[in-house]
Amino acid sequence: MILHLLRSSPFSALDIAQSLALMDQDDGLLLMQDAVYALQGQDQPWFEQLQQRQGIYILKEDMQARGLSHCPSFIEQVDYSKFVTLTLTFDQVVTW
Amino acid sequence: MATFSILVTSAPFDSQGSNSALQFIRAAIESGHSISGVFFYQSAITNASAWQSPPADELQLHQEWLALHQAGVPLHVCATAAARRGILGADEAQAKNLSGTNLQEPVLASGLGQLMVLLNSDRLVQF
Amino acid sequence: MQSIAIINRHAPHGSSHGQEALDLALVAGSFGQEVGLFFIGDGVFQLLRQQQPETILRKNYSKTFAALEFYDINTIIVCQDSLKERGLGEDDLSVAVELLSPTALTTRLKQFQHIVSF
Repeated sequence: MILHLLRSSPFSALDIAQSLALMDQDDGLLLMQDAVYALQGQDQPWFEQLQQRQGIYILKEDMQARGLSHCPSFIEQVDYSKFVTLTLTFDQVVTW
Repeated sequence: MATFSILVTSAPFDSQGSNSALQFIRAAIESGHSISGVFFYQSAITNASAWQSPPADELQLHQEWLALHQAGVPLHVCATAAARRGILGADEAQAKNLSGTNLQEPVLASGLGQLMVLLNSDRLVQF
Repeated sequence: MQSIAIINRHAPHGSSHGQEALDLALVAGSFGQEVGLFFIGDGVFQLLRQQQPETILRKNYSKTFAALEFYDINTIIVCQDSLKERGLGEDDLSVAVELLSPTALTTRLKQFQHIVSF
């Protein structure tokens, strides 16, 4: 089980497509840094892919820093403490 | 409780990576985990520079790393990656007839082999 | 023995990612680590034949890929979708690789203890 850390805005980089392509059912994805702007992508094809998955997380601090507050219920909001726990829940961590 | 090694590869200030790493490490320590070491590589090597001098109202990143070292976290920088980008220890600076040094203890000028040693922990997290 | 997967996801020469990923791979290999080199997305451009980065004042580290076996690095995996998307085939690459679908590539990735990406 791999935890993918996505750091770039899905509006400007292909990292989201690459990490989604490599994800198994049991893998997880944490939206952090500029990747939290994914929240604004309701009309984007990758948003639907996120919606169809389990294990999508978003770093609260990075949302708050960027003035984002609305988060759909299929994305679990985590703080740094839970982020640490997540890295242990999964077997490996890969940073995009 | 688990052991973590932290690989930082993104440039301080130019990107958020170093800040994220700091926050992750603090949270891990607060949760009772231990950090086997932080390894600066690629553009992250400027984290090691003692000459970092941001304006007073901004985060003093180098000082934050030193504080983590005080808390028992070993700090390593890849000496080759650092030298390429102008971060040099006293011996190397002297060998090049340069006065002064911006790489000094407690940050250790290490080889990539040190990163191999750090792989000996439960998780490696890259920022 | 520890094992490490190194993902290359950037094209060469425009940035230092490829060169420093390769430096790391060589050290890991000589330290007796089990190393897997993965090429995904623009990372597949790292392996193109006949690169001449001297013309742009960059080091030609691509020659080193041919020497990986001497560092006991035998796992070189390329994402076949990334290669195809970029109009390339196995013949365009400078070394022998395993071409895998994203799903198969992920299975291999999970066999390594740690993963780093460049």
